[in-house]
Amino acid sequence: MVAIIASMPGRVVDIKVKAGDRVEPGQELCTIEAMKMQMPVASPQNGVVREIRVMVGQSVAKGVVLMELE
Amino acid sequence: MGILEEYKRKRETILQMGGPRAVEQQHQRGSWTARERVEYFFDPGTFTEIGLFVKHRTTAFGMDRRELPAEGVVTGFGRVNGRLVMVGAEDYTTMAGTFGEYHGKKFSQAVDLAKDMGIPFVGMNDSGGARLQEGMDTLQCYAWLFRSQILASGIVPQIALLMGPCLGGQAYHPVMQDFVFQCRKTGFMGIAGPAFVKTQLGEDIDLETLCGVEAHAVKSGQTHLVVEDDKDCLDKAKELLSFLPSNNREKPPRQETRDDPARIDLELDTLVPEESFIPYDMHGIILRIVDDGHLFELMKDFAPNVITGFARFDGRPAGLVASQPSWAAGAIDCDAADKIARFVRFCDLFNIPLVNLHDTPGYWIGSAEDWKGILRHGAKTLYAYIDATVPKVTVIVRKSFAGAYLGMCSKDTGADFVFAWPMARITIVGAETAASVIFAKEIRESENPDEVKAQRIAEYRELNENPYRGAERGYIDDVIMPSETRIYINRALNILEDKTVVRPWRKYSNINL
Repeated sequence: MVAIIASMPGRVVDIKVKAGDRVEPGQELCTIEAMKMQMPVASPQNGVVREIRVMVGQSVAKGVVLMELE
Repeated sequence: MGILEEYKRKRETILQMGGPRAVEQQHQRGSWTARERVEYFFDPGTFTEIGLFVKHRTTAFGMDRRELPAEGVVTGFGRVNGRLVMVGAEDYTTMAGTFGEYHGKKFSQAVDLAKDMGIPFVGMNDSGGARLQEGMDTLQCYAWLFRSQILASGIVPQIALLMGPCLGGQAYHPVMQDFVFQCRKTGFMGIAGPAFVKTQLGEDIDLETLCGVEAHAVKSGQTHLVVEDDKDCLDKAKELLSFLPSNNREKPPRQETRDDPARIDLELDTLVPEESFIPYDMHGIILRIVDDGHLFELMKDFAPNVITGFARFDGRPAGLVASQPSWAAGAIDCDAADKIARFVRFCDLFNIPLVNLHDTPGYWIGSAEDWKGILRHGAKTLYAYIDATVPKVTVIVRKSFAGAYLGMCSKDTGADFVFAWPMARITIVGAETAASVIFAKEIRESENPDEVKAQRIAEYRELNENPYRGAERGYIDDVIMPSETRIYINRALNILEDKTVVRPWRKYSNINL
């Protein structure tokens, strides 16, 4: 299980995958907006999205788990 | 045996260091010995060793019966790519390279000599720690070493190469030097090792996790460069030295280059995304404007939201500081501010001009950074840039808002020249924030608050999120085509070549620490 973590605090503005989706390395999983920038969160590896832990519009702190990949 | 034969025998014995078995163990660890490192580092035949015969005078704890060749440290000077450099190389094969009174004395004196002669000092650190048998003598000797290196700081460049376990005092003296390179599997640094930490605090942690490259290149920001092994480490040390003058009275050495200083790169005109909230990798810009696409990056993995490193412009070494929009919005947090400030101050100490690239929305806001002290950390960059007297050229690529516009060096906060790209947005705060504040009442009281807000934001954006307001005042020296950036930087560095600044005397400024 790989935890996808927010590397900066901000707001989740877009979630591009759903549970069960297969993902590849580099594929955008979601987008976090902060400090006037939209930062894409990319998958570090091949995997399947297990659980999405956040909702669009939710504020997250640095280090919060956004989703889990298997 | 004749006198000469006896002398040669004595010398030969010392050159064997800790003996063949200890040397073999060193190799098995994936490391070279101190003497092998020194041999590789210097131009052939140029190394002169000092203090080969130095010996400890301790008798306690069986030390009277221990012969420690060269006191476990090789000190001396030689030429690196033709330039004189002083070295202190700890010898792990000799009583684990532990630091005792005379070992330390050799080290301190090497640093003193480097300072007096105006040549860089390179420490090759590979030590099991302090030699506890010598008690107070060891402790006080750290005082001599720390004093020597701190008094030499800013006079000659000092580079620390972590090639072994360096804990306690043996981690302190490297970390206080200008740059620390750490070998990936063999270099360690920490105030105390796992055993001590376990007994004193009950914390269970292994050496690699506590003291390895992840700990210091990523978390603590104490390692500037991670290297693969001894050879890579020494190669990179030589490369770093090529950017630096030998001492603070000299200019950094200028090289010949075939890379045209007036080279235009049309790719730059379209490299930055139109929408200012879309990230890109700033390395793409850096590599196109420096000589030969080469950046010697430092602290790559610590505070990646800013980039620091050395490059050349028309053969001239320069320190490069740039926002990295693809990490944490390129906004400046506490770690990024620290990273920038120390790098800028080092460049100022050694007459290295600075080139700054802006694409930053500001200093980080929010409780996490505010409580960590973003105010005092952020202030460090202002102190560093304003105190610095070296030439400073800034190019504003895209966003440069608020405090970060000031803190990353702009007109009146240190910059000699400021150029901006046409897509630059230079303003006190972004349109959204500004409009929401200025027109708060109007928006609140209107029938269509969202519409009014959007309209006012668009107005503010149109008026202020561009380089022209600043250019009209002369705070931006010119708005330039991105493709011509290299030309402008080189012309600015040319005219600033002999820049001198005269200021009233003071000891130093009270930079927030």
